[in-house]
Parts: sequence; C-alpha cells; structure tokens
Amino acid sequence: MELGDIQGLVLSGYARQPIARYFFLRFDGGDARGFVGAILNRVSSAAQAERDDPRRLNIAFTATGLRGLGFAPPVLLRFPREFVEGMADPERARRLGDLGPDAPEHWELGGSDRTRLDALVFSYGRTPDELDDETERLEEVFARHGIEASSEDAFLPPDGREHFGFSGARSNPRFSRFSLRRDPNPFDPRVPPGEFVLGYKNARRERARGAEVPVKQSTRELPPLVGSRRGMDFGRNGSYLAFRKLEQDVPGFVRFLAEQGPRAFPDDPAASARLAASIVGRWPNGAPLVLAPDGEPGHPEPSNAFGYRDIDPKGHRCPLGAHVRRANPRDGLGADGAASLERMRSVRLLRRGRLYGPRFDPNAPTNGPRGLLFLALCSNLAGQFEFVQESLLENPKLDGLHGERDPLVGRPDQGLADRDEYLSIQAEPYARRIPLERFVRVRGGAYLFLPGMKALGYLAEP
Amino acid sequence: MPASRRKTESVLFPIAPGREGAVRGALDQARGRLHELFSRATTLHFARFVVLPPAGPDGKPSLLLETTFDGDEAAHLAELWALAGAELARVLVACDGFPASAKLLDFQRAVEKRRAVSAGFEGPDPRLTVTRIQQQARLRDAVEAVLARDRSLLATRSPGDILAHVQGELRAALPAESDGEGRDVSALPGDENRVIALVSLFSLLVASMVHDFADFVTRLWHEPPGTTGTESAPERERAPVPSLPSRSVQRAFTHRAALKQGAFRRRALRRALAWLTRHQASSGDVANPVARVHSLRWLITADGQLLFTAQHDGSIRARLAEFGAMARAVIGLVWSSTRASPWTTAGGSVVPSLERLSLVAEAHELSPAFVYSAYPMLTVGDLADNAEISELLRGEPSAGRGERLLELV
Repeated sequence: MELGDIQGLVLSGYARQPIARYFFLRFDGGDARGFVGAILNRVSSAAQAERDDPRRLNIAFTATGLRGLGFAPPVLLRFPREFVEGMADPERARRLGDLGPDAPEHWELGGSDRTRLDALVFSYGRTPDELDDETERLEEVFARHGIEASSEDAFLPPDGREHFGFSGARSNPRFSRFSLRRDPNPFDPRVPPGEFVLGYKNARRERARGAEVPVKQSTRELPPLVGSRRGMDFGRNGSYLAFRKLEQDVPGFVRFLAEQGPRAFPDDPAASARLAASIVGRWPNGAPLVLAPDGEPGHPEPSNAFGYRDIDPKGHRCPLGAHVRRANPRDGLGADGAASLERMRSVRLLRRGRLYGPRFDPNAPTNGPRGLLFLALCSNLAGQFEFVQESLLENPKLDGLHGERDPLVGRPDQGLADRDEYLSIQAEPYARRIPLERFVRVRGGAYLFLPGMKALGYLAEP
Repeated sequence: MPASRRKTESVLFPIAPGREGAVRGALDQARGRLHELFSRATTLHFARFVVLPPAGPDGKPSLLLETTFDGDEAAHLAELWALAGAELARVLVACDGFPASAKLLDFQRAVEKRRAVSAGFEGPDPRLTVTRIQQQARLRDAVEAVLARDRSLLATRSPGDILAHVQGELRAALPAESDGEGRDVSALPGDENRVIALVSLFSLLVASMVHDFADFVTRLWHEPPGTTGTESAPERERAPVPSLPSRSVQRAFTHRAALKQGAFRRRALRRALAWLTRHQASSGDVANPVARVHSLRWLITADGQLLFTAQHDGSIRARLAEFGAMARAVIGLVWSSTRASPWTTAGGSVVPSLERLSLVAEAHELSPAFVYSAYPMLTVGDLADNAEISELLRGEPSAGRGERLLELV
C-alpha cells in the first residue's frame, strides 16, 4: 500500500492521541482552495515516519465541499450517487431510518442548507494544550481564508467504554494485504485493503475504483494519469466516510434497564445487566453473550473468534435481534454459513468514532448532551455503510424476526406501526417480547470523501 | 370459480413537451389522497407513476402508470376510477389527449390505446389476492398478540397444546378456505415452449453477437483506444423521490436504458422476454430462488428503450446479487442489449460482474413520482409464512404443527 499517500486516519484510530477536536466547515464565499493549500502540510499520512508525531490532522470533504473547490457538476457525477446526493437526501434518509425526530431537518449538522457541511477537519492530540495550540493555528487559517467553522470536542475514554458502559469497537476489521491467506479466525477474517481504500482489491477481488477528474498541471505531486492520460485518478488512496452524530440518552437507558430488567428476567438477580447485554449482544467488558450466556466473565480480553450458526442458531444465548448480532451476523446471514462469512467480509466498516459530552455520573444524572461522533470508513458507501444500516440494523425481517429493528440504534416505525417496538428474547417454548424505548437519536450526519495526499494537492491547485 | 391470477398492466401516456412539470406537480398534489384512496381498493397490489424524461434530443416525455392487480382488468380499472377517478383525471389531464372532464369510459379507452406490452412475472405465488394477503397478515398479528398475552399461561405447555389454545382463541378470526384460485394452465411448459425457449435465446445471442461485433469493429476503426464502445459512464436521471411509506420493507425500482441498434436484435429480445415470462409462470425457475421479488417487468417502448420495473424487498443491490447468482447469463444477455451495458457479447461474455451490474442499474434508475403498495411492510417471505400460519391454524393440532407455528411467529 502507498502509505505516504493515504491519510493516517485510515490505518490508525490514533489511540495515542486520545483527545480530539472536530471542525465542521462551510466554504460560503471563502477561499476554499487557498485553505486546503494552507493546511496541506499539516495533514497526517499513514507513513511510518509520521507515526511519532504528537499531533495528527486529517480532512474530508462532502460533495458540496468538492463543488466549492471547483468540481463542476459533470465531474461530481463520476462520484457514487450516494455521495453526491448526501446522507440527508430524503430517499436516503428513509433507507437509513432517519425519520421523525431523527429526520435531517432536525439535525444540528448536515441536515439542511442551514446546517450544511462542506468539510470536516479532525484534529487529534495527546494533551489539551497540544490540541489548543493546533486549534489556534487552524482558526488563524480559517479566518485568513474566510472559512466558517464550528467545532466539537471528542475523546477516547480511558476505560475504553462508551457512554452506555460497553467496551467499544471490539471487532473492528483488520487489514490483510494478502486476501487469499488462511486466516486464524475464520469468524472475523482479515479484510483486504480495497474494502476501505480505493485503488486496491476488495474482498470480491475487484479493484475499488475512484472518480476520474480533469488533468491539472502542478509542481506538486498529483494523482496518477488514467484513461489514456485524459484524466487523473482522484480517488486513489482515498476512502469514503460516513459521519453521524448520535446522541445517547444514558439516564433513560439506566432507568429503562431498572424497570424492564426484572420483568424480562424475573429469576435473575442481575436482571438489568442481563437485559442490557441482551440488547447489545455483549457484556459490558466486551465478552460476547453467545460465548458467555450465564454472566459476565472476568477475563479482560474476550475472544472475538466465534460464529452464531453452530453455537446458537435459535438465539437462545444471544437474541437474534441483538445489536452486535445484527451489525455483524458473521456466519448467521442466510442459509449458508460460509457464504455469510464471505458476504460479511465485503460489508465491513472501519470505525473511527469518538465520544463527546460528559461521562455519565449516576449521582448527577442530567449533566448535558453526550453521545458518539460516529465515523465509518469504507470504499463503497452504498454497499457497506448503507447495507449495514438498511439491510442489517434497520431490517425488520432479519434472521426470521418480524417487525423488529436494532434495539439500540434502530428507529421505530413512523406512522406505519400498529404495534410497539420490541426486542424478542428467544426462549422455550417461544420468544418473550420486551417493549423498547429509544436511547439514541441522530443529531447530524454526512457522507464525506477522505482524499489521498496527492488528491489533496490536486484540490489545492487552481 | 374462475382462476384469479395477479397481473400487471403498464400504460405509457405521452406528455406534451414542456408539460412534465405540470404532471409532476399534479402527482405531488394528489399523492396523499391517492395513497388513501388506493388503500381502499380490493384488487390493487401495487401501483406506480414514473415520469419518463425524453430519451434523446428528439424524444418525448411520457408517464408510466403501472398497476399490479387481481382478476379481471376491466373490473380493476372500474374500481380504480370509482375510488380515485377525480385524482387520476387531475394527473392524466396533463398528458396528451386526455379529456378535461373524463369519465370511466375515457379512462378505459386511454388505457386501451396506450397499453404497453410487458414481460415479467409476479412473485412466487401469484394466486394470492390482496384481500387474502391482508387477512393472513391480520391473523398473524392476532396470533402474536395471543401468544404475548398468554405467555405465563402457555410457558409450560407443549407446542401442540399451544396451537390448540391459539386455535380456540382465534377460531372466529380465521379467513375462509382457499379462494379456489387455480394455476394458469395455459402457461404450463411443453415441448413447444422448450423449442421456443431455445430459438428465442439462441436468436438473441446470435443477434447480439453479430451486432456487437459490428459495433466493436466500427469503434476500433473510428474511436481512439481506451473507449469501451458503450455508455460506460452514463448520465444519471434524477428526480426527487417521493416513495413508499417511510418504513416500508418493499422498494420500487425503475430502470431505463436505450436499446442497441438492430431490428433483429429487438425482435429476438422481445421473444426471449416473452419466453422468460411463460417459463417463469409455469416453472418458477427464475424468480423463486430470489424469493424477494413481488413483481418484475420488462417493457420495450416504441422509441427503443428497455424499461425495467421491480417491486422487491430490501435493497436493489441485494436483489441484483441474487439475480446475478441465479440467472446472471440470462439477465446479462437481456441487459447487454442496451446501451447502458458496458458489456458486449463480442468479447465472448455476457456475464457482468455484480459491481458493474449494480453501478449501471443504479446509474440509470428513474425515481418514481408515486409508488403504492397494499402491504408495504410485508416481504415475500412474510406472505409465505402468513399463508402457512393460516393453514396451520385450520388443521388438527399436533406437536409437529405446533412446533412449526412457534418457529414461524
């Protein structure tokens, strides 16, 4: 892989830089091209030599951002339809389940022209001082080029647990440069780089291609020429990025567990914890329910090598509709386990999300909005992010279920449902149903493109 | 009782140049009311209006009205007009030649005159009527409600006892026995059909190969290297998408692409599509493995376009993947007859990669201006499950039947 041409965020979640500030930019009337040129040298690549740098910076653009950088509509049409239309497009919002209170018109970010996003700058640091220094420099660049910016602080929690108290991103996919290599963990196999970076082979052994753009001349190193030298491979070493601001109602979740837990598991002294695990599909320390159905195991690094088909085909250990089972059914999608694993290999998402807002304190339960700034990298937004969202998380018919959606991030039917939302907990002789409430709300979102370093140079050129 | 079989009718109303906006506007205004009125229809499964922009500089816009319905066509049109005549007239009056104060007869005449012959098939069980589908869905909901309500009572009972309990609770709600709907025997396969199949597909293949080879040579001669010889980067046709109700599990896909040149190729394509329809109606070979397609049509328009419509569950990519796995050669052969297709039989292959198939399908997608489904929350799988639940509730309770019921709900 051409690490020097790939933005660092693709290959690293920047665990050494636990605090971050995300800048949401609008280019209205500003010198967008000059701005890109000004921060170009600060953008971090994935090259080995940069790994010791204490601060990291990455940048991604929406379709409107690329238009602001001079991409004409016919050129933008060479990008995938979903990227050009954007996450807030009404049809796409419907497919993603962003309806009612989650609809784009209610978003703080990216939902309408008023809240439009043109670019997202991700700044990472080890300490607040480092982050403030970088912010000062960036704000000076924004001001100099007339770029409007707002920001939100984000962080990696020291204990690795997200706001609901669960250990996060347990099964983030791992890259494999050799797609044919036998994998030691067949249930969570390594994924070829083309699933996340354009220009490389994906799980179907097809090369993930990016958009071709008109040729520019420059002293900078630009993307390679393609199409009989009539265009440049702008997409090469770039990734698509789905951004969502998800607000979590932690006090509501805690109250719900306390109320519904004993009703769902009347004989279990730890009923609330069991209900939470049934919703998520893992125990708070990350141990999968399917491997530890009796309680949270003590060992800190739970195994990720498991499938559902043989151990738990009927969902008696881990409910069929549990969040992690929906998001990655492993060998449980459809009738053929091997085909399911192969299919799931081509819909994986590289998650780079961070938390925002104060940590939940049960002694001061109402201390401001909190949630997840979700970032998912992929090479095909429709085939990966939208597939997971629409066909797995929001699929009311997944795995023989009927009329259910993801219990954690799915949204209830608007206007169509003549029944309450519920989670089925499979048991003998038949499943019991737990009425659900909603604890996650969408507050913003956008589809972005995270260009390669040479493509960034292209954007800075007139 | 006469065979009651689901059918789809496609009508293409020409729109006067410059009146596309008026048609869209009328549909925007009528959308909510049409949904409400159509939902009272007893024969209507699905309906869609699609405004087709001009296919080229000399082309004319048109409005596709496609309805999938049960039984007799005249009765279906009469029901539609009786329920939503005023709204339909308000939309169609913006089309060429539709009278301002239209009556049922005008509507029937217009449909008769503008009807387009389409080929395709109607789900795994085209004998299920709208009424029956809705009854069975309600029954399933009732079963689930009984099971949830009486869980504490039933938790220790055997599956056979549980079935007996549910039967007892719901005896009054059970729909009547089968409608007596029969299979359309006119379409059963015979030797004649097999011969037609071979001739149709072979002639399409030959026509495609001859024409594509000619295209290939011509382009080699006249165009610089590196061009594909087909519309590999098609311009997308886009419109705002009002669609099925917000959380519908069904999707309505409409795709249009220009056919490649060659009268022989088009005739062969027509024959091949007609054969595919007959073959599917009799054997279910093509659509059954997909199991998530409610209705699927191909339509060749007078101005040389291939229109493809589908009412399906879930994402079109997933459905294309299934089609690709099952009948990729047939689908590839049909689509390789269009200019949208980046594949050519001249290269010796009509089997596209799934990725390219999806890209081309989506790039030429047309957004419908109006889509209706009588049961938007039911998948093809649900229809089968609900029918089986209904059947289980009618029979004598037994352990096996009880276990099956509990598997299904």
